[in-house]
Amino acid sequence: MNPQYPLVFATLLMRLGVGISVTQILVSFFVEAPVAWSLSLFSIGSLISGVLLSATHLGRPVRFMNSFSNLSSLLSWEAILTPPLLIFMSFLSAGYYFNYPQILILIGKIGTLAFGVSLIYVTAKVYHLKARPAWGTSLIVYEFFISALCMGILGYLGIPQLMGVPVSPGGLFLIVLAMIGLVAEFVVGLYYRRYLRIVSATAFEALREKAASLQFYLWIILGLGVPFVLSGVALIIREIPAFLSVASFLSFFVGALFWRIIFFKVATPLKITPTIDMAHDQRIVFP
Amino acid sequence: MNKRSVMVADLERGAGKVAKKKYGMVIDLEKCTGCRGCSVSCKNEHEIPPGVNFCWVYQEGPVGTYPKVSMYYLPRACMQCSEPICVKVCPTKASYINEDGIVLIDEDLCFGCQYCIWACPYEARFFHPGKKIVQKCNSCIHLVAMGKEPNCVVNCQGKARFFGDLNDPESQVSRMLDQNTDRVFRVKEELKVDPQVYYLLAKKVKIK
Repeated sequence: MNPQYPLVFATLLMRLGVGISVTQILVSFFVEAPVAWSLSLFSIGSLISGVLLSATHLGRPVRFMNSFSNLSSLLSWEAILTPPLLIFMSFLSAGYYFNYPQILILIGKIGTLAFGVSLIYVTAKVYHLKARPAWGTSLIVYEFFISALCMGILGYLGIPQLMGVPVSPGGLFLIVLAMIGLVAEFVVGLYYRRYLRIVSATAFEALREKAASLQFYLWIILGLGVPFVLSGVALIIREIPAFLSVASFLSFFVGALFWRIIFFKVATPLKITPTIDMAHDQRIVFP
Repeated sequence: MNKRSVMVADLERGAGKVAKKKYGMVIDLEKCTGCRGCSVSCKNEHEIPPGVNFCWVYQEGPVGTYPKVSMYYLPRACMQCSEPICVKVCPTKASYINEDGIVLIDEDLCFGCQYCIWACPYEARFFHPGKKIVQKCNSCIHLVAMGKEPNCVVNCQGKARFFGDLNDPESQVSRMLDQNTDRVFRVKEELKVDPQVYYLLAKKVKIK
């Protein structure tokens, strides 16, 4: 399948927005420090950009409101979950800015966590289609969650540097968490490659095609290797210089972009024609 | 009475009936010559733009070495599944099954997300570049409602395609399935979508 670029960027931006919000909330449970409300505004912007980009993928975007109609469709659930998530994120951001009472902030946090995690899960499951052998695995769900975690942490550390706002707390602990996430992503990536080799010859062929192969290695280098090494350096020197956090985040984002492109390229259709087995009296064999 | 007249008589008889119908197709691979007349007639009937098709013919093979060589054609259109994945995943409910078991698209509801195209295991759907919505074979419902056959059936050069009510045990399609149980197969049955297009294998070929 040709990469659907609006969806490539949309899912990345949605994961970035949710990832940053979730990281910010989890850190706030452990570290008593003022929360950068501008960062939570950024995550809202990121999520809205993702939604708008996914709407540009539609043939008739003006009929967008029709997407809430079918409760048995995960795509409808993606549309249903997004507005309350945005409401909770906005409420939380306003709470940080206007110093809402703790109980209201807690409601905002719980709502954001619940809807954020649900949205990532539903978005991953949207791709779980029997008609595309490359997508017929729960590895996709793991990959979505792990990449959202890594992107959230690296974005949480890197984006304030880009925005020129105070650096958020919880640095070195989060760096360790991000490194574990990067290793997990690498393992899932290798398993996914193995899965493709087993389930679909055409999907694996698409992965081994020259451009896709290059993108796969770029994902390993930029999406995993560079952020891992830079995070390791930060851990060794026990501080996170601006350059390191910004470079880690940008490198991971570009790498994840390549991964998403590959993700569409390997989604070849199911082979439906039975093959002829000449060795066994011309019997046909169902794929 | 030849086979075609029987089929037309079936449809005419069915058009007036109130009983629930389940339209389906039987394609005899023994008779398919791979001429692609079905694709051309379908394009004419539905004014389908270049590069896409409701109805297409796959070619498997040739395999083997002379003189032991084998090949077959597999015409495909929408399988009109009874449990269609495309209907389940459509977020707008634009895809639906009508009372006669034909899977249709409400063009006023579809917003062209193309999710059904990804989800259909038979590649039966396409994105119409002009209308910006998804389209698919509708078994020529406008003709069937008048008691006529779909255009691909009428124009099949090898007379390999048969269309009718699978709920009617007297219909030609039902009788063909009863009489050829050793040759009948459906594509990708394990997906449990209950496709309503049945194929009859070429006589010298057997299912492994």
